[in-house]
Amino acid sequence: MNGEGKGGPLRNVRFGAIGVFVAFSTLLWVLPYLVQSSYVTHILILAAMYSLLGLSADLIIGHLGFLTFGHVAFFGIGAYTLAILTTSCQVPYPFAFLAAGLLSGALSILLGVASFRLSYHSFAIGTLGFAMIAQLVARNWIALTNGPMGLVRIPKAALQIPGLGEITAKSTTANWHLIFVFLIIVVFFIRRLLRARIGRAMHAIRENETLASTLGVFPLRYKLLTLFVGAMIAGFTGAYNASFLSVVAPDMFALEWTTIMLIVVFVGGEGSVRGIILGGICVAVVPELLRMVPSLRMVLYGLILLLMIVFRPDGIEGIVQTYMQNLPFSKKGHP
Amino acid sequence: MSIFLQQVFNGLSIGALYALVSVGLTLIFGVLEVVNFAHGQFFMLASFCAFFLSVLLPRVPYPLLILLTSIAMGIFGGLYAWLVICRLIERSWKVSLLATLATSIIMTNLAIFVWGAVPRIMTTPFIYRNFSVAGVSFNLQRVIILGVALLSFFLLQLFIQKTKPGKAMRAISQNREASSVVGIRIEKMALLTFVVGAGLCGLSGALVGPVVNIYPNMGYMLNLKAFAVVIMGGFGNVKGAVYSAFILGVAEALAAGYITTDYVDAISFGLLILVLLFMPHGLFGKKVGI
Repeated sequence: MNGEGKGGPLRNVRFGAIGVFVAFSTLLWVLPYLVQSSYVTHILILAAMYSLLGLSADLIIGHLGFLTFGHVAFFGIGAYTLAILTTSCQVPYPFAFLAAGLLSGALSILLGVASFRLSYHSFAIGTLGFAMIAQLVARNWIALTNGPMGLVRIPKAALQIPGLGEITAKSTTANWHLIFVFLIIVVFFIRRLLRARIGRAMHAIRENETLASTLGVFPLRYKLLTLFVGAMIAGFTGAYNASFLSVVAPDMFALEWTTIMLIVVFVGGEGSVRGIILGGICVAVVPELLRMVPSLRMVLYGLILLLMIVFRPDGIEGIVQTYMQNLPFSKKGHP
Repeated sequence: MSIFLQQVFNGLSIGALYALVSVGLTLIFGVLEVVNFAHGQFFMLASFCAFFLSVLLPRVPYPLLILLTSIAMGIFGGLYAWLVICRLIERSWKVSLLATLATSIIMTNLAIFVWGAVPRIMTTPFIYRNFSVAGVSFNLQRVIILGVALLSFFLLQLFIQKTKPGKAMRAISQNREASSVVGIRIEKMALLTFVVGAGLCGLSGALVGPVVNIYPNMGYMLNLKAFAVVIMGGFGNVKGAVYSAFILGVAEALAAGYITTDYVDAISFGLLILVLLFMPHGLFGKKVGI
C-alpha cells in the first residue's frame, strides 16, 4: 500500500506495490477460513477497528496538527445512534448506519466551532470535556440510552435489497469481511483526500496557520471539514462495533478508548497511513500475546506510550522507514 | 437562606480543593509549558499516602501528618520531574502532554492493581465535629481545609513574588532562553516547580482525603475539573486559577442543591464552554504571568 508517486491518484502506483497489496488483502480475507478460529477473527476485527479509529483521529492529530482527546465521543455517538435507531425506531439497518456517521459528523461541527477558538493545549482539554459530557449524557439520560445498563439486542449489520431479500452479516467471518472492506475504502479515501486540495490545506494549516490563511486557505473551514470527516469515520466504526457486539454501554466513551486511539496514532507514527495500520495491529495483538490482568494491561499500554514518546517519537513508521531504506529495491528519497 | 449559605460554604470548601490542585497545574504550565495530565493522579497518590500514614502512625498529630504527606509528595514530584520531565522539556508540548497522560494511566492502573478498587475512608479528629452559626452548620474539617488552603496560597504568592527561586520561575515563564542566558538553570527550576506542584497535591490529599472516599480513580474527574479551572483562569495564571476554582466550587454546590445532582460533573465544562465563548482568553484576560 506504499510507493505511490506524486501525480494522479492511481496512475503511478508501482506494480510491485499493487501486487503486495492484493496478496496481503487476499490473505487477510481468507485467513478466517484457513485458521478456523473465531478467536483469531476477533483479533483481526479488533485490529481493523483500532486502525480505523487511529486513522480517523490522525486526520486531526497528525495531519491537522490538533491534539484531540474527544474523538472517542464520535465513536460512542455513532454506536448509540445506530443502537437507538435500530432497536426503538425500527429503522432499516443501512439508513441507521448512515445516520450514525452523519450525526457524529454534525455534532463534530458543533464541537469544532466552540473548541477551535482555543489554543492547542486548551483544544485538547476542551475536546476531552466534550467526551466527558457525552458519557454523562449516555449514563444519565435513561429514557433515551437506558443509562448504565446500556442497550442490548442490536441487530447485526444487514442490507435489505428489494426483490432479493436481506443479506445479514451473522457470522464472525462475515463481520470481519465487512470491516475489512470498510477499512480498505477508508484507506483509499484518506489517501485520496490527502492529495486533494483539502489534504494540502490541512498540512498547510499544520505547518503555519497564519501563512496558510494569507495564501487563501480559510483555516476554520478546513479544520471543520477535517473534523467532520474524522468524526464520520469514527461514527461509522462505532456503529459497526455496536452491531458486532450487539450491545452498547456508556463504557464506549471511556478513557480507555481514547488511550488506545492515542497509542495507535503515536506508536504507529502520526501522519502515516501505513504506520497507523501497523500500530492498530500491534495494539490488538500484543496484549493477547501477554495475557494479563486488565489493570496491568493498561499499565503496559501506558508504559508503551511513555517509552515510545520519549525514545521513538516517529513511531513504528519511523522504524519501518529506516529499515526499508536499507533494502536493495527501495525507492530513495521517500518523503 | 440558610440552605443557600450552607451550599455556598460547601462549595467554598470544595473550591479550596480545586484551587489547591489547579494552582500546581497552572504553575507547572506557566513555568515549563508542560500540561501535567497526571496531576489528578498525584492527588490520588497523596490521598493514599495520607491514608497509610494515618493508619501506620496513629499517634502522629494531624498537622504533622499534613506536613509529612506534603514532603513525601514533594519528593515524588521531584523524582518524576528528574526522571521524565527534564528529558522532555526542550521537546514540543505534545510530547510532554502525552508523556504525562501515559503517566496518569500507569499510576491509576498500578493503584488499582496494588490497592484494589475498594474505597478507603480516612478519619481525623475534626471530621465529626460541627458547629453552627446563624443556622449554617460548619464542619470543622472543611473549615480547616479552607483555612489551610488560603494560608498556603498566601505563602505561595509570597514565595513567587519575593524569593529568588520564585523570581527565577517568573523569569522562565516570561522568556526561557533569556533566563538561561542570565544563568538560571532550567532543569533545576523544573524540578523545583514540580516539587511545589506535587507538594500542594500532598497538602490537598491530606486535607481533603478525610472528607472523600479514597480510591484509585478519584483523580480522574478532579483532573478534568482542574483543567477547566486552569483554562477559565487563563493558562499559567495562578491568581486566576484560585478565583475560578472557588467560582466553580460554589457553582457546582448551588447547582447540586437547587437543580440536579446528575450532571454536577458536567457543570465545570458547561461553565468552561460559556466562559470561552464570551471571553476566549479566560475570566482574567490574556495577561499571562504567575
